[in-house]
Amino acid sequence: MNTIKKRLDIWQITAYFAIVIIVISLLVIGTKLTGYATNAVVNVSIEQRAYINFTFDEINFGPGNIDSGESNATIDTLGNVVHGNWTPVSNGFTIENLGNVNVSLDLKTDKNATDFLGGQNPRYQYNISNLESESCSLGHINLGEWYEVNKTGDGTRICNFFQYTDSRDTIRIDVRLVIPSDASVGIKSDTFTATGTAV
Amino acid sequence: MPKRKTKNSLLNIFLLIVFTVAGVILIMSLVIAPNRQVIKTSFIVSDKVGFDLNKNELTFGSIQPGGTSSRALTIQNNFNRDIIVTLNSEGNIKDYLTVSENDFVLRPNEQKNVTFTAFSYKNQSYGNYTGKINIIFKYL
Repeated sequence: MNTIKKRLDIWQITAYFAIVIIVISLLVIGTKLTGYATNAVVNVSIEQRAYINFTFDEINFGPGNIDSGESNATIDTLGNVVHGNWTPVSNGFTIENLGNVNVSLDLKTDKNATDFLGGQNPRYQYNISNLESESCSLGHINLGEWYEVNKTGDGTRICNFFQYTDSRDTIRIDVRLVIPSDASVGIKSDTFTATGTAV
Repeated sequence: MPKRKTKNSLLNIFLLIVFTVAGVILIMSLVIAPNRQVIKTSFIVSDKVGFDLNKNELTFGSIQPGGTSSRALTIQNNFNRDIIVTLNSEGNIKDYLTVSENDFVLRPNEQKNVTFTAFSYKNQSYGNYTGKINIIFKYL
């Protein structure tokens, strides 16, 4: 009788021990799932760079023709149409630094003038200006001047400091096309990529 | 006497169940995902292009309809054994996020860059899209 009771006591003690193991194991699982105790063994870091794509067809010049007898036409997003009958467009792209760090800004396209327009002496250019004063500075270009697009690497450094201060954080990109009379016909589209890197 | 025997048998079955459960949970605690990290994520669809290089959240800034924005995470395994990393997202952003690689193995001390891309459709309405990215690690 005593032997049976002793055996039961041992079983019961072992059962209590098992229950303690269950509780501890559940705590361990819970801790792991919430990530509190073991964060130190896996590092996750967020790269301070972003690549944003936007398409040229957001600027829609619509259909048009080069004036008879002219070798090319020029259209831009400042509302100019020379030697052609396209509808004037006066909205370029707007880029804003919404964050809380200054960034450098690079700009590239997928196509150059030849890829985009074809024909003899095409031009596909961009022009950067501050929509809010002092937003963009110290890039490899002069603000307000026209430059051929760049499709190599990350493109051209247009701002070394693109500020985040609310009243100084917005620039504008305008586009100009010189379309030769022998340019390829059809709907044109291209993608711009702006790369912002925290500085 | 037969009544006591029945009682003992029931007790033995109960104890057997307790031991089994304890064993299973103990093994699970050793094998189950050792970690999970959560990162908030968001982007805006508007007529502007905008950067937001927040270092604590995966913020993609502002994109135009039809545009994309990409940012990368670096994940490093400091465990002393192989882990498998699974990435998933939740919230209204999840249908507009892609990741360059998922369900990959990291050896001890190995690190990998994964790029998340937020995208919008041409006809997408302007608005804010937010959610979370879960980074789940399991022992291989």
